[in-house]
Amino acid sequence: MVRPMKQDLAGQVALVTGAASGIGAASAALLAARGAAVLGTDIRPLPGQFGHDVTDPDAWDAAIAECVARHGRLDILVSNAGTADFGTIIDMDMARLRQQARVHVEGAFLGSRAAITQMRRQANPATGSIILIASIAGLKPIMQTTTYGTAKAAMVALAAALGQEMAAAGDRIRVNAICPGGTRTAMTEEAFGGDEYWDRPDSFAKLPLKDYARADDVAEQVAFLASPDSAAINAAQHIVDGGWVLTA
Amino acid sequence: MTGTEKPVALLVAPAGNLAAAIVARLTADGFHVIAAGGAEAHESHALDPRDEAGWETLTADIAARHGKVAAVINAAGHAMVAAVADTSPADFRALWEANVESAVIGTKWAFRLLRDTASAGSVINLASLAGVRPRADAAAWSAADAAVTHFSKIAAVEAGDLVPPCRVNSVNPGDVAPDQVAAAIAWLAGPQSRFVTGTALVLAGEVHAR
Repeated sequence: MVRPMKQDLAGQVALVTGAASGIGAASAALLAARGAAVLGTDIRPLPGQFGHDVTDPDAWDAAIAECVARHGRLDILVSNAGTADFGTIIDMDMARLRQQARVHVEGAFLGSRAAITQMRRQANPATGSIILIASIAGLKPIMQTTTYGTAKAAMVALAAALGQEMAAAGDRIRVNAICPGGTRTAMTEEAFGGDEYWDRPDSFAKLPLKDYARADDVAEQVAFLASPDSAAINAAQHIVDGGWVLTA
Repeated sequence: MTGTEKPVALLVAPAGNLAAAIVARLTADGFHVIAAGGAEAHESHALDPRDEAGWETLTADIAARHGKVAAVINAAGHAMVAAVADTSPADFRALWEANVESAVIGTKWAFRLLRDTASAGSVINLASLAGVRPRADAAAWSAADAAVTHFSKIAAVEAGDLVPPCRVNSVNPGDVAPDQVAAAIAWLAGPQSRFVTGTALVLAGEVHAR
């Protein structure tokens, strides 16, 4: 059966960070396929994308301004830009912890603040959907995630706190976190390797769904949280992991 | 079954606005909806959600006529607002049977239907916000829906051992519009959520700082 792609995001404008690869690229493509106008940003932008360091407050002002200049407004922020960092704490140095905090926590904080400011310029009460790409490493202990997991846990807390803050302020800006499990992307292949990691029997075959996530699986969750179908969903976390957190 | 047939969704729910919204949304999304337990859809069947003989007859009929099943939605439970001091053991037992036993039995027969038809299906158990956020005026309801929510996670682990692996999630709405509950159920019923299992999809509506 072929169902036509829903156009439930027609007329909406999305900004997706980390859009050059992986979950960000898949999310930008799917939001566009659902009818949204999308500005993709990346620290190493592809042609047509905007060069953007999410840890720099001035760069956020520039990215929002670029989005408004190109598409007139901002309705959806996907704060996705991130980097991997895995290792035991005994080998960690503060520079690595700070780098994780900057790109994930400060990036999501600065992006949310900039997006809320723009959304409040557009309407009162303001409307919009902010989606933070966190990780199941932020929900439960996973080996060697003392920096990455600690930063991702802060993103989960940030989404819940901001979602409550928006509702209490009377705005209709929803803030949710997505917690992907193992997702095969350029970033995670660089961290963990190729087929020898992903297809290893003890990697994913023991999970309930016997597989790892594809970037498109996370993008579908992004599209749902961006759409009016999730208008009653706020300040929550959304796990896309094939059942990993149930069993690990 | 040919590739042009619609995916089949079985909804077990009493008649009402919520069931009507779920049927309308699933239909709009392209499902062939089979209703049981009071709700009406493309096909409507009588079913006591806690009667295993009824489930056996219904699921055998669905397997024979449709071959594959995409989603089973257990939505037979209901609310009960009462303080602990005003809740009798009989009240508690009645709500436990209506909410928890219906979800457990419905999931059991959903698994058998999915197994016997080798379907990669999605089971969705409707609980409530009370099941994840304690409500002072709804002790029995909160406890029962917490049981449904946790049971659904346990069942999600077992569903992974079906061939092909299947999914189980709960939907936990607060005081939100029926079309929003229907949209959440449709999301979990469809292929878009193919890697989502063992979660509680919470629809809190407007979340106010406490």
